[in-house]
Amino acid sequence: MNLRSLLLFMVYVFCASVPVIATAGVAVIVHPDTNIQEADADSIKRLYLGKTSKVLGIKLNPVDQAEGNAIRDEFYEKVVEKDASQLKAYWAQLIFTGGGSPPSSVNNDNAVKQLVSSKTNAIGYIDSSLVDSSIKVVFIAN
Amino acid sequence: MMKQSAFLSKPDTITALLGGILFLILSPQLAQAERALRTNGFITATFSQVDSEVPFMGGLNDEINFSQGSLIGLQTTFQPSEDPIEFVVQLLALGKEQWEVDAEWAYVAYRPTDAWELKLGRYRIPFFHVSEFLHVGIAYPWVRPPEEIHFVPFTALNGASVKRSGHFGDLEMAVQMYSGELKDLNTQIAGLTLTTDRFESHGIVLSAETDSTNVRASFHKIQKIGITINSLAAANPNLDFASLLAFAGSQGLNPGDFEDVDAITFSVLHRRDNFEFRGEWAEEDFNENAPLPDAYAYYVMLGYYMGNFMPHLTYSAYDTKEKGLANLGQESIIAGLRVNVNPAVAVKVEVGQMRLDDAVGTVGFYDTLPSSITGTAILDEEVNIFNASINMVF
Repeated sequence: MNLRSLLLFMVYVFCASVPVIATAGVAVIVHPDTNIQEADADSIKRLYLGKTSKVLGIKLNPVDQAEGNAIRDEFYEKVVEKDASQLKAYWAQLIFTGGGSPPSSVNNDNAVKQLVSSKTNAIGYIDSSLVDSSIKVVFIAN
Repeated sequence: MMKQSAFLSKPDTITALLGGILFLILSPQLAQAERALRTNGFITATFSQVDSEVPFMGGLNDEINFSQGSLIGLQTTFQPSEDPIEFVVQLLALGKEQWEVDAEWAYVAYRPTDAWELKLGRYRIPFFHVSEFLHVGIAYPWVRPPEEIHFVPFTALNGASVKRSGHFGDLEMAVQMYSGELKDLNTQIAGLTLTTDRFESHGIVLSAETDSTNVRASFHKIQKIGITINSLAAANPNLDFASLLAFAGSQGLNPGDFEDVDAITFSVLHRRDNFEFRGEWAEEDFNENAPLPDAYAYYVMLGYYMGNFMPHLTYSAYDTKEKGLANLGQESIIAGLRVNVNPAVAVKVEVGQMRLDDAVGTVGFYDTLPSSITGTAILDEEVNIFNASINMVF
């Protein structure tokens, strides 16, 4: 194998090892009857970091997705601006000092959709390609 | 090093902790179940060694020490759905206290709104930036947070705390006031075991935070009532009480049984791009006849994030303003590396050197009094240290 072939092989291995995220964006969703039309990233971020329990004056219970889900990592990176390790350290600090607890989580996008479409006080996030009329989008992070 | 009253025996400790962990492992659905009852925990396994035969920093010497920094904690939180009331118990077992279980936190919290919080019960004293989560190693970069600031022996109180928080745009601000007491405590300092009949602390903590910066200031009024020297530790085998009193007299001291301390702290944490800076200053002013002199301590740390790796460098110092029963002055330089194995597990290593102040009679953080009164060999002015730890939360 000459040097050129070796370099091409290494580029191929590198490209093949990079995870490809297929999501079209993250949609933050609420129940269609919830009296919020649009939310800003900062309000959603404060809600998911446990700094407030309300968005635009309406009390909401944030629904998270299971650790390891690609959409979860994308949501926290784009909206909350923390990676998984930073998030764990953040919540460890709060949990063990009585400062709060992380949102409860469900397994995947469909479970979030099902929960949010059945509760007017729930807010969640899903892959934006899965949005339908059973829920209302209040924010999209691309 | 404080030894508080244990309310469980050692077998109870192991049973309770293992039972809790097994329950979590065997019930993976628990994390997603009803949120009224939650259980979380943390484990730290620490290996430390110094190149000194004379015990240092509460028992380290030239043999690898596993127990001094190792610990396990288990916390259960009960919050009836939608209620503003929360019940929390955090049990902690420290290797350096023979794994006896103590309740580090045990309180009822009342949060009528997002802005107000009242706690009643047992809670950790918010002296320094990491004080309240000092045992949760995954929440900070070091294996051992700079000893020069964090060696305060009293960590928890029984009392009340009220906190008011709010935000102005991106700026989160909070004011916390607390007051509490403890009784019948044993502490060790410079190789002496002291008992304190009653310890009180009252304080106020102010904090302001943005995404990248946290600034914190605090003031504490501390009283120790009924202090007596209970025993001399093994590190001071040649010292008797008469020698100790004679030494105190030669220093112009007449140690009373009462300590009144005003303490002020100020800290900054700033993250920018991949850099993280931490700095903290603390100052203690004692009453005239207190065994320890007025002192100040500080540290500065600079770290750099490289994905899951974070190398960091810390300089810290403790210095006294005047003479006391023991001059604890010393400075340290610690180089460390934190590796995030996964979001819940971090591995850390540190190497560093501690250097005692030049002043005669300085013992730094050795577990002994000055050689001039103990008659033991003169202490090495430089002590090298190695620390490694595995930190986990669940």
